[in-house]
Amino acid sequence: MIEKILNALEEQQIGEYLLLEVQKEITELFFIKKNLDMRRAENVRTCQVTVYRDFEKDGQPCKGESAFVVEPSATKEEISEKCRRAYLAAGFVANPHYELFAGTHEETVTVESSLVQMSAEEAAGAMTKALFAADDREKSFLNSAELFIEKKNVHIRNSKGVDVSYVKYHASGEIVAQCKEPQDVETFKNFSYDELNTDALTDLVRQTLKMTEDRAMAQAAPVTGTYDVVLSDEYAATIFDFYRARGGGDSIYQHYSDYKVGDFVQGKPEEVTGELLFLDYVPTVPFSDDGVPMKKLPCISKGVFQNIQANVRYAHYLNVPATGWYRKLSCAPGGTDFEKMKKQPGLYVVNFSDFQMDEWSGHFGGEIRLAYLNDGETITPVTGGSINGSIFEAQKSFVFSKETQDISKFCGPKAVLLKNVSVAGRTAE
Amino acid sequence: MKKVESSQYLQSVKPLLKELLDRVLDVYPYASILAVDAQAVRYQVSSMVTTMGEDATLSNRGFVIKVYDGAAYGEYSFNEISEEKLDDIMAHLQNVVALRECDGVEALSQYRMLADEPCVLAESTEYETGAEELGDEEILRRLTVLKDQCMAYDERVINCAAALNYQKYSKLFLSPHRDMEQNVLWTNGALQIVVQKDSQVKYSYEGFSNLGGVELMEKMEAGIARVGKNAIDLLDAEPMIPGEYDCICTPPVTGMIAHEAFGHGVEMDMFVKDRALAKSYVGEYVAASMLTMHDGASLSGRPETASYFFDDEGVLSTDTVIIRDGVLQTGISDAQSAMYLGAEPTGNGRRESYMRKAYTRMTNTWFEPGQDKVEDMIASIDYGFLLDDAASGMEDPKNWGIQMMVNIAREIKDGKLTGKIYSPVVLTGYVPDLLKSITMMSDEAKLCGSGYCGKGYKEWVKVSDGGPYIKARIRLG
Repeated sequence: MIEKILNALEEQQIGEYLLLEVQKEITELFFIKKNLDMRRAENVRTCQVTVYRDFEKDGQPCKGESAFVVEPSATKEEISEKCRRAYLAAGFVANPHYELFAGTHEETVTVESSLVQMSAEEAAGAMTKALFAADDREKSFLNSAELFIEKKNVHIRNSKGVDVSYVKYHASGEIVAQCKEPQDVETFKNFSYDELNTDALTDLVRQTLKMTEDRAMAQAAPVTGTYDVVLSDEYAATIFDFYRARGGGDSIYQHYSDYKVGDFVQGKPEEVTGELLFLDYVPTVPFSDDGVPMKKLPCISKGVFQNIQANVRYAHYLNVPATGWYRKLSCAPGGTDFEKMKKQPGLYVVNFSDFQMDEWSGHFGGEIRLAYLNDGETITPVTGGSINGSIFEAQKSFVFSKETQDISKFCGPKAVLLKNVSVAGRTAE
Repeated sequence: MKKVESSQYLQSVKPLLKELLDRVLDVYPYASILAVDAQAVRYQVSSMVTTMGEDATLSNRGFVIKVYDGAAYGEYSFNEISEEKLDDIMAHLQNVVALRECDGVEALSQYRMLADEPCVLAESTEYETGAEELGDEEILRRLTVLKDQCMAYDERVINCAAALNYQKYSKLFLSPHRDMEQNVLWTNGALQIVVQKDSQVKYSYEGFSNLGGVELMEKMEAGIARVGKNAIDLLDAEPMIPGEYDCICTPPVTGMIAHEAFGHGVEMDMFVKDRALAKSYVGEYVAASMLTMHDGASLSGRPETASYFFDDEGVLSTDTVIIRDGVLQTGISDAQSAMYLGAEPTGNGRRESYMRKAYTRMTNTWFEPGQDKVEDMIASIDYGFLLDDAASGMEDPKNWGIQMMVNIAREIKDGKLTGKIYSPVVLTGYVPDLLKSITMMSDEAKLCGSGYCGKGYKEWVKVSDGGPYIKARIRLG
């Protein structure tokens, strides 16, 4: 397929291009209770082609670009027509000029993972066993589950010599736990691992089943007011999405983010009473989609912004090195025991219907499916109501747990305590 | 009006697909093939950057074979086919079926074989102006004009974007007794204005949609003033004071309530899994008696971006009345779930793409209009809010909880809008309480199909939703 595309580009005299070829092999299992309800496999190959065109507009040098998708079934004529239309369109896309990333041919990199050692069927079998290993409780059970084992081959090639490729394995899916008494309730959780993380999956199932039993007993929403709110696991990780987005070259260039390298970005230094942020961008693939080698890179240190993460275009516009786009952040853990955090008066929310962190407004919130309310004396499961907070306030007084977690998008404290967060619930009696 | 054309590619491989189907049917008692050829193009002009190109997610061309092995179903998705590759495809399919022997698998679900009533069909939707006819240059030029108008709205505007995207797809569904073809074109537009005051950055967005072509762009200019006003107003927004209030919902908010409250709640694959409370409420009052709710892809219903002639399992589209006069009537279904439950399939079996499994999915979901005037509805409120600019929502079919994020709550005092605005707003509650609290509905229903719907956090499909303005009692936080 690549050769057909290169020939078409040459025929159309298109000198600048970027090819991103992806082949995916996915094995999929769908369960209802413990029954295998559907099994699937996917084996597809596509190539995204971006063509570039240099021109001048109003005396300014421009580089236009336009992309298209090529499937293996595409004929020579179809590829030629797509090249022609894209190259023509690129001439109307008047963005400021920049240079593509220049590189060389490199050997294929296989991203290290225990999944590399086994076939998709073996990995699916191991994850299936892990899935049901903890599904042995009296009151709660797995209602349904989906499991995906993916192998992805990525090949990146451009007209400036970049010719790199990597292979990455991934296991992901979702579970729904159900408890019928005293109320019929369920809990949805998804998972995503770059390793054959069977222990983590079994732990997730165990915790989710226990959580669902607690939700079945939860009767009321918390009383409306402000609370110290503890978030853990994926919800704690989601809070940090804000910083990953704010540090993005696209956001900074388009004025959605006001981050400047060297600035203190955790509010005003004198107002910070909690943990200072130490964040790093963490690569999850060896090369960005532009072909830029990706390495661990400081994002925020002691609350001070260190590096913009940017693809080749935005890096050029902002006059910073091209880093590629990172999908994972790491955060230095704090000094507080997670158990101690939970013992303080406040609300530990373990399940939302959908927890959202708005990367532009800084607003975070979600409806509470299950939380543990600690009034200083007793701990009560509560359900309903919502939390509604602002990262601009919360970041002044972060408390991070000593304990850590490592999931696909985040590596850092397992739990985060956010002070004085608004909770909409029931009216006090 | 012109008809969307067939895919030449799909026509060219159809004989090969029929040969493959015959070979599969030599081994398995039932098989079907869905073939897809979709092209989607996205244009966006912002004050800083212009982008144009095919959408890598929505542009795809490939196939999925579904087989029945006497107990349950298996599927294989692929995008390379030729006479020489047929043996390879058969081998992959057999590997899929063999996954029943996978470690850890204790048992297989037991299903009957899908009905396969004969159907031969070839249909296309219509459009006025195609993107290729107007040309990429002209589309980008018109978007640039819209972008410039957005930038000129107010000096506090720091960025804005005007965008257009469309998807033209052709699908073939082949089974022992079915030979179906459809060709569909939908178009979306969007305006976004970003404003800044001191360190605060706020934005507002409006989507536009049609089941048609780029003639949609003619409607977009009218949205600039609304988007600009919402964005500027947000700069002075105050945090919501949590509580339960009388609220008026604009049609997009009404649509999201319809979608999250009862759309997801009546997806019948959830009935199969015992994940939907609605299963045991058919025939009972679940909403105010003035409320009637539909979902359907049928072109004879409310044509929008989620309209089609048949679903991804070869079932003809319908218009399903989910709630009539406040009483829950039925759910919506994919073919396999309907068969399991002994119900008629409603044509709601949809895939994100040929690469994904089919689930029961919504299409165009909406509340019928009532008889009230919007100004009378606002005048009827002593203290409450007009809710606008729906941002996101999440379903809870098991427990009928509802969560929605709404960007704007405009204060109403003594029957008048005060100009004061609160944001952001989390709308929560128990679905029947909310729907039964509806006391007024405006006399016009509007749908918008600029969004996508996920099942959980994945499986994105094009949907539309809407309805009239509604007055209801809602918990806000």
